Amino acid sequence: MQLDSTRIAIRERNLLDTFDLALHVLREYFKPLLITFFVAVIPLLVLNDLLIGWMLDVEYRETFFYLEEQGSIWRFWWDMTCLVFIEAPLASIFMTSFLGQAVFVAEPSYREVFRDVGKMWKRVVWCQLLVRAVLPACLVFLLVERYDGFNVPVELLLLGSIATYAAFVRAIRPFINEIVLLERNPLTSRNPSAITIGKRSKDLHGPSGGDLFARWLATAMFGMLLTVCVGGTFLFCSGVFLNDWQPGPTMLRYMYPLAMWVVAGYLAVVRFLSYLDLRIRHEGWEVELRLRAEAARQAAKLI
Amino acid sequence: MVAERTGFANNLLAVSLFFPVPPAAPGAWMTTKSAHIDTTVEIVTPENIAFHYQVAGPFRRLPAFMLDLLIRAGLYTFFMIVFGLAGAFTSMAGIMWGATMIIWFLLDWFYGGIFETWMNGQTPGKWVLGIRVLSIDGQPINGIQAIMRNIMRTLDMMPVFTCILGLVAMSLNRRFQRIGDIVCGTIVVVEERKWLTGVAKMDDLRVAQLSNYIPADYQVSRTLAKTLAAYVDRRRFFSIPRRREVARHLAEPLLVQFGFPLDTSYDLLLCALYYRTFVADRSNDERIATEFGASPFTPAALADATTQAAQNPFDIAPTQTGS
Repeated sequence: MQLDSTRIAIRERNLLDTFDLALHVLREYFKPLLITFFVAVIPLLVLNDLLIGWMLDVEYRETFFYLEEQGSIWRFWWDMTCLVFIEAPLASIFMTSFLGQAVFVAEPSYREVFRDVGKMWKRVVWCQLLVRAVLPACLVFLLVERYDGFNVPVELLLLGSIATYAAFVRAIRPFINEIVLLERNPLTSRNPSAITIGKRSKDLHGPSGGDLFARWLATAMFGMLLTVCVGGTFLFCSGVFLNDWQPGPTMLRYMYPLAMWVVAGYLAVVRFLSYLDLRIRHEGWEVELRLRAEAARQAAKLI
Repeated sequence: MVAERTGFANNLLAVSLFFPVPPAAPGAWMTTKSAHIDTTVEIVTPENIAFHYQVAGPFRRLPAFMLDLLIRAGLYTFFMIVFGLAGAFTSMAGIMWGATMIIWFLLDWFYGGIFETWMNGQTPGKWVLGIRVLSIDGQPINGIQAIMRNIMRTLDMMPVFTCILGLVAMSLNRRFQRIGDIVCGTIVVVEERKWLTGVAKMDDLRVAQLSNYIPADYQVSRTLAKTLAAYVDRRRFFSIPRRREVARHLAEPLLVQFGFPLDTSYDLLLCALYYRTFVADRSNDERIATEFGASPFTPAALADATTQAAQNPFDIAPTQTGS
């Protein structure tokens, strides 16, 4: 591993440049990124469908004739948007691990990617499922009576609060996946000088809080714009190939989550590149890599 | 290492199936430009001069496009009001309406083309955001290229203004060319003005003094010189503990190699080596060394608890509390 010969060029970039570079990274590693992303996304797709898919069932809409179809569609849209938004960082764990290796290794192996994530599963469970509220968001739907009307306190207020909390945490501490999976800091330690995940997160994110929040806002805006564009394209394709031009229940149930996941995958690459950028700006990581590579060369000379 | 090289070669081969890249010279594969995933491209002019440009991708172009859209909307509103008032106060309301439509047509289809011809590859939006359209050979674009690439934008915005066709086209090539760019042989580059920094000034007299103790027969390799330059260039932005963390990786083996005391300041050592490589005036240094009495072997304030360099490149060293 030649630390100063990285596959992805390490240098300081602005957010727009990072978005552009993410397209190059996606093109270069399209297949492995697709595989590593959908390995995590498919279970979540199935889970989400089990949790709220019934809202678009024909029987439900016909049985509860007093509920207008538009109502059930909006309900599904809101719940699915919240779920995908909250679950998106969890879905990118394998992808992040892959990208971490891809910076230094020409062809990272899937086995190593999955093994690395497997080693960190406790930390992932704690940081993503619990602290970042993926599990509570899923459990919310146990409080919802299936085939019943819109539960305002639970679906609107509780789920909305969880999504707001997740958004806030992610806005100020976006790089938790990278800290857990790439830096591999311990969750806790008895040694007071050890750098735990919490301490590292504070050190990394703390000094750039305002900048990170602004970047998060811009990323969220681009994310929404891209979701509309990708969703619109799916609708266009469905119209051309299936002669179905309405964004109806079928389209919403399968195509809308897919559009959101596609954008979430792209934004995961952007987030990883932003992490590299933050480390360069905040810690001079590129200089550190060069010094470490040079130290290795010096050691090799001496041998 | 062999496995890495083979893997890389395979990867390069796979990439070249879609986007031909020149074969790297033997032994130079690691440092070839094509090895990096980056937003910079090399353009070789007809005069055989190579320039490195940062190409502007869809997201870099978006603010410029939005600004141009705003200007177009402003111009259209202005003309609509003028023609509307003219139509209201004369008996030519129909003609004025027609004129408004013509203005809308011209703005929609020729705004970008006319400005890019007139302003050498820039529209007002591009000028504000510092991007410019060039031919793929690095030459300025001509009027036909400018107008055609703007007319072709309609295709790039398909399907139904979602712009996905253009986005996919841009993602599929290294130069971020949308369909209009591919057809007209143009690229959009970022006009970056880079400051070339000279040799860093070393205010600390101990740097020059310590540089005299570095063995005279020690040869600084090209990569080491570059690394030292990068470190000295960036060190002023680091906190003192961070300087120590970063410098430690290289300074520790060098201290052993030079036979210096192990508690010599890491940062000072790298600065001294930089000084020796880029600045040193031996006779002047010797004068400083005799005039300045303090020992250059300033010990680092606190011994490092974890001197083992971490194997994980994403690792960070534990935070130091002293310099």
